[in-house]
Amino acid sequence: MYLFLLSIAMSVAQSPCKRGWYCNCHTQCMKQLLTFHIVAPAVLLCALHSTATSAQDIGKQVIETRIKETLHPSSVAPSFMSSTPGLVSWHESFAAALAASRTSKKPVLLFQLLGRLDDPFC
Amino acid sequence: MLFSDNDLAAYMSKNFECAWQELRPVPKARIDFGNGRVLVRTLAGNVATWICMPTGLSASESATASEANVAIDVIPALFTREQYQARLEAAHALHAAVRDLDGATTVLTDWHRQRAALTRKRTAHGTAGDPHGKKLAAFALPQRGTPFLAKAMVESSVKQSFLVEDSAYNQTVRSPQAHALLALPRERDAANEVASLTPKLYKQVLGVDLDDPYLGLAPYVIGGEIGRH
Repeated sequence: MYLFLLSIAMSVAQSPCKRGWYCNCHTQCMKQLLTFHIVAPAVLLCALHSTATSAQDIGKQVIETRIKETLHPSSVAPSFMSSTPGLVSWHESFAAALAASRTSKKPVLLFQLLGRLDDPFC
Repeated sequence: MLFSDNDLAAYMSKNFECAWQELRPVPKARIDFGNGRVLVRTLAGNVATWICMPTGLSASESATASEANVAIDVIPALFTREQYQARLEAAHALHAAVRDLDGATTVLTDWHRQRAALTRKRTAHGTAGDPHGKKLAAFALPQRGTPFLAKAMVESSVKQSFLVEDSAYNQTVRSPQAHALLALPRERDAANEVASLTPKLYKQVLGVDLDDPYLGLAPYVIGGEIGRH
């Protein structure tokens, strides 16, 4: 749209003076004044505004980049790959569960496995 | 998957002090396709659920003694959600019965001896009445020699809804072995019974030798004899 406005402004500037109501002389007419002092700055301001707007519209790039990085296996961090080990309330360690059992009098359930329960590859 | 069940998770959290323990890192196979895609899969592994209770602890005892415990029961490998909770309920009741006894260990070994004999007796009578008997016969899983077939079977069972059959196998084959292990006279110097019995359970019942750095996979993945270092 801004290119379209700029092309209109340039075409107005290049068109011959027809000595109309806006023209007081042959060399400095209102048409040139309108073109170079009002239309052109307005178009430049619009272009700058467009640049600023596009600079704000980086969310898509950021999202796409992050998705690409996430999908790339080598860029997957271990912390990102950790998962919640179910809905059970787990103690931090076996010793902690035994300590809690001494107070609550509940038996201790120790789930042993190769790998980590919060690792999706376990 | 099992611990994501709302009812089971609520039951476990309410009636037990739960903890999980990584015995060792799980072996993984990593296939690099060369185009940025890498496939990672576990090769072997098995699980066990111990039910235990702490033994007496005085304030002057060391941190190691804080893990002193008596093993009440163990659930080898995977079970269906219903069977798993039934085993937990039985262990919970057993704990309530022996919790305040002085000779709890003796009572526990007797109980496991009876359970092992009872399960063997049921198995010896055949599986004619067992709806999973024919499927079990199709498994024909050897108890030794192919220890890591169990892991593959577990994963396959989950994916293909065969967990029922695997659970039945663990109930009829592995559970008696686990009961027999707990029926043996306990080592008196083993304050941490779970830690003392874990290597035996994995080697004798689950077919995973934790002392072997290759977990018995050496002949299959790099060639050579079992236990090659």
